[in-house]
Amino acid sequence: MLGIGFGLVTAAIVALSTVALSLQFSVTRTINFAHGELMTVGAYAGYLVAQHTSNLVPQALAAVAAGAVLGWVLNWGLLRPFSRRGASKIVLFVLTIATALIVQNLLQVGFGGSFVDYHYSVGLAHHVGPFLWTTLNIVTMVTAAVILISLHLMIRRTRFGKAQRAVADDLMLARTTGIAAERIISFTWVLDGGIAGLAGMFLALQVGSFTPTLGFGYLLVIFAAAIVGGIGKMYGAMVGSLIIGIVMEVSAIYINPSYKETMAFLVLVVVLLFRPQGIVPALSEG
Amino acid sequence: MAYFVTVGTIGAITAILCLGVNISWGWVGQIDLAYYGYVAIGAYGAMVLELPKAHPTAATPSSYVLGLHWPFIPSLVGATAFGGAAALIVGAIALRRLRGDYIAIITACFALMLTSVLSQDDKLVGGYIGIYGLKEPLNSVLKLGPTGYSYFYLGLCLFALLLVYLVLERIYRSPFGRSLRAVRENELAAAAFGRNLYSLRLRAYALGGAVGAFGGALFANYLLAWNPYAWSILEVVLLIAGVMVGGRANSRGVIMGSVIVLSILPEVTRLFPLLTSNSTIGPSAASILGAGSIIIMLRFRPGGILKERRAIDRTEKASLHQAPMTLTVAESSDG
Repeated sequence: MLGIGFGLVTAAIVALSTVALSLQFSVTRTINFAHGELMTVGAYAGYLVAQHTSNLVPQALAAVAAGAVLGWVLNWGLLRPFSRRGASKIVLFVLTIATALIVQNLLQVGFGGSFVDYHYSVGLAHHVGPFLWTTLNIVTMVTAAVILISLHLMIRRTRFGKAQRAVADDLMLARTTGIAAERIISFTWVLDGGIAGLAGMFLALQVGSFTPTLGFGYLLVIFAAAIVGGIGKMYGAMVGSLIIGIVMEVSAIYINPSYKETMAFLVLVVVLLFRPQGIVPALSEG
Repeated sequence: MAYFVTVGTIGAITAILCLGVNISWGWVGQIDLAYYGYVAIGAYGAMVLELPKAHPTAATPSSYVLGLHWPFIPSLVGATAFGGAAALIVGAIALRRLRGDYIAIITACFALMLTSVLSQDDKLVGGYIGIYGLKEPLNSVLKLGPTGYSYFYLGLCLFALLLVYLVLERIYRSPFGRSLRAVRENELAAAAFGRNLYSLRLRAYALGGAVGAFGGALFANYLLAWNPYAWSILEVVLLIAGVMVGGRANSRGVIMGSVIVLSILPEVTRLFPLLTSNSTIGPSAASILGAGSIIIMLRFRPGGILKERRAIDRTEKASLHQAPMTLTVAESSDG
């Protein structure tokens, strides 16, 4: 039960990041290998603000801002100019890999390669039903839930969400009907970066200390969750995160904690082989 | 002088690694993020074949499998075969029905799983401690001094590079190489002409893994030790940068690019700490500039400095435009 409790916390963080990735992928159709770096800059931004105030709200805002800025720059400065010139998907993908390496090393120059400590005063653990959670765990899960619900409402109920779905379905058709597709894509990257940055901050708080490779270390776990859920499908991404989060934490108890990422990759490999469209098709209307 | 010998030896080995990456990225056009895994397999493989049986003690706690005490050359061949076989297994799974970007993700997964198993399991190849204690290969026969031996090993690596270059050039020009390029240029057309895409890609992938492992084996025999800190999967990005700068699918270009991005650049950025107070900036700057060079090349000269020679259609000299690749395929006998 403890394992599932931790699994839910991991799942909440992974879900935030995965839903952001999935939303970005469904609208832009580019696999972003620098997604982990959106999380890492969020973590460092939160860490920097934490040097001045212990209040979590400004830290979270800084994390969102840092991720959003990087997401916007990645699209505006790199991917958009290249896709305008008709670059293929694999070229865009290579560009994001190069970006991942560049951002990691810039952070390394700025902060050094060693671990930095980043904590939130945890307080006492709370018993919630069969689970045992810290205040931070609960804050993480509630924030994740609020953001996921808001995203759902935004996509389903607002004009912007409708436009986003139109661009995701058919870019040319969306353009023809007068949707400012460039602006929608640009905003999607900002949204993606912001949410991923926040997830990065929560992840860093969860593990307590981190290096410039924090997000990259989680990148494939996030891909695993996204692909298990069916990449580009938002609700699938949530279910995928839940599956991956629980698989990781439960296997950490029964097998070996150092193999928990390996278990997530194993799930991904199996899913890619047998059901590349994801395992939750019924929920996949995203 | 010793400095140039070191840079030259590592440069030659790195150029071999770049030639291996060029097979998947240059010839076939897919990203293989597991590549450094094959390099590691080659390095570990050569060591466990060459070293005698492991006798872990308090002073030398490293424990590993095999320990066959083979001579240098057979170990090199064995390590290359290990890499090829590993790539064959991973490729058989990854290339079955996946698109390019998914192949990159699944190969990255395999590389990370391999890293995790090799570093956690301390009975397999020494875990985090790694393996060490290799004797300088062939020196039991040659009995050279340290300086003489370093020249010898440089010569050996340059010879190995030449060998890999000649073999790969030959394969590139073979019907198999032509078919691969056809698949890269136009998958559907190649399939329509009866090419088995899966088998072609798988063979190319295994070849790439074997070349990587060969380079890794040479590297381990130079360092005489190897552990999980010696490699990371993102390093393949810099190898790809070498390929991009020099010229995709042009072996001479790839060697040149490797020298520029992976030999000259790190040596130049090594001087950076002299200019700033930051002492660790060197390797980071090399990575930033290396990865940046991918972006710059893709923007301004996607073919690289030395571009791939286009296929010439010898049957119709006065063709209207550049000869389509598919025509060359139609003539080839390989499939």
